[in-house]
Amino acid sequence: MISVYYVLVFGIMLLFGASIVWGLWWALRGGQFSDFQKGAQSVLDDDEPTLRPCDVFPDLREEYRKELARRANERKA
Amino acid sequence: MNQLEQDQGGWTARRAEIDRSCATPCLVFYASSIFWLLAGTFFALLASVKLHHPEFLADWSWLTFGRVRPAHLNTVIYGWASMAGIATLLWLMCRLCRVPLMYPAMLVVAAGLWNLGLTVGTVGILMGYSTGIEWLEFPMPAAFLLFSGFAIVTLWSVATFAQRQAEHVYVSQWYLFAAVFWFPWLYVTVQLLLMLFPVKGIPQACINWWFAHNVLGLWFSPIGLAAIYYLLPKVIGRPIYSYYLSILGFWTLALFYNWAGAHHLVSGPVPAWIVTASIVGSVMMIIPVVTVALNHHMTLHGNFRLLKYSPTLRFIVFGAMSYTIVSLEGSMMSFRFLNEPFHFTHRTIGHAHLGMYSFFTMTMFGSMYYIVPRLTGREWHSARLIRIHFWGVALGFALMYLCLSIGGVIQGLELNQAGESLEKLIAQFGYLDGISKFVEGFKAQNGAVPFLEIVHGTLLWLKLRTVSGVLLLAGHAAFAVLMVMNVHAWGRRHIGPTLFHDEDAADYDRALRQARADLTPANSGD
Repeated sequence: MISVYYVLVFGIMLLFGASIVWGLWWALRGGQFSDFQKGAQSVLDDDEPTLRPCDVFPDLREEYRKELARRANERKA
Repeated sequence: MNQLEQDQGGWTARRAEIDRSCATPCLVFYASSIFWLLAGTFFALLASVKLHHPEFLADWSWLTFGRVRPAHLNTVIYGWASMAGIATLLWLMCRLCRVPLMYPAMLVVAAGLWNLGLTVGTVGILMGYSTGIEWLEFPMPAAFLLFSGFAIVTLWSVATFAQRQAEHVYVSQWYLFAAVFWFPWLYVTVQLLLMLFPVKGIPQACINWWFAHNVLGLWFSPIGLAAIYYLLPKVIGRPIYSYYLSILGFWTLALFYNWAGAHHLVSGPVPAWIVTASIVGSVMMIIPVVTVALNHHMTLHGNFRLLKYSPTLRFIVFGAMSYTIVSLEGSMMSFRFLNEPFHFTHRTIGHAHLGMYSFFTMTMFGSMYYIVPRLTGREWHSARLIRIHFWGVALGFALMYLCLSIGGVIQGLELNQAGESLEKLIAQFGYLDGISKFVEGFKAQNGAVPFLEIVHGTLLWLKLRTVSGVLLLAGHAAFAVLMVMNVHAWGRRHIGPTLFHDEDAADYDRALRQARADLTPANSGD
């Protein structure tokens, strides 16, 4: 029983250790680290271009813009 | 409609579809996490009061300090932090893989198993069935239920990743994917070695602290960092400063963090090489921490004014800054000369809360301020409650950290009679004359302080810590009310993001426009 348990513990250790080495190899082979600029941009979708605020409800962006304009007008008035 | 507009409409619709698919399981995990946060805060307050008024509820065996304290630890770690972390992980994974969540009902089953495990475990601890091993006090049946629930989460994460539509694997995905593998590895290994086939003697302590330390660095930290790396660019509309540094940070964390843990056993009856290797690993952690800190700071550079308006941004930046402080503090505290005088004091508890609360919990709050409205389709209903939440938890935490740090340092110096090991440090670094004089003065004044006087001296700090707990509870209660209002669509409907002040909307928009103008290629030097 004890030997089974050692095999289990060391087996798990080797499995997870090997998986991270495999992950690194997979990423290098797949070109994941070849274009860092592209990697940084990938978090933003095509409708979220750089230098634009994104912390707005996607579905309500137009409505939000109108609401801001309304509040600005109210303030002026 | 031109091609660009069609594409943009497609992206918006796809994001909305992904959010809809995640809504039920993520909201179940989030709602459960808030329930456990309140329960954990209640246990924390009880435990805190008992430290300065031991007679409080002392006649009820299931509410004695020895049961309430582990109940607090386990409900906040496995209840609040893990459940909030899993919901954030699932949503981020789907958003980054650009695929809807498959069979969301199975993840609701996972949440049910996890909640059942927490209930069994917490009741078990209160009834006196704690295992007595720190961070693993839940009795065995609870651990089995937790593992079953997490197995579903891991399988779903792998399946989502395998079906991803995005070609590039963003840095957040590296962190998230690693976390869903690292946590089961830690948990299974520790259950095998400490519960099913318990090792005997010193290795028990080594394995215990290997788990307890790594669950912070290899489970909670990756989720927190993944959320920051995703949300920071989204909120300010700017990609991270250096993608190279972010990748370097991930791989160095993977390489070095696992070595830390045994530094908790400095001066214990442990082979010296194990502790030394752990200290080396802890110091090497400065590399990923500095890369992350530099990256976050430079990404936000020029946008600091937005912290005034956006709750998401303020909470996650609070968390990101705390990550830097707690990590560097951790590296320093692993050194023998600092560990010896301050271990077994309240200073260590302050450090642990800096990591789990100020970094991870604040980051989760910030993430929920961004994610929950996208799941429910409704913005937060009360800017005032958001303000109460932020200031309650920020001031509450600051007070707690100061009390535990100051009280803990004094306690450590007194316990060690001003600590020889600090003098060794001073002998090595002559420029620390100020500390030298302080320590000498302290020794001259105090000499050998009787133990009970040392304990008595901590009372002021422990009472103030209870006050800080009340502030934290007020903040948590405000957040729980916000969550209930959002899910049930109570209160006034907001159109744009709910900011710290309702009247801030136009200023926020102006600040964003200004930030955008400052960052145009001509101005940014790109």
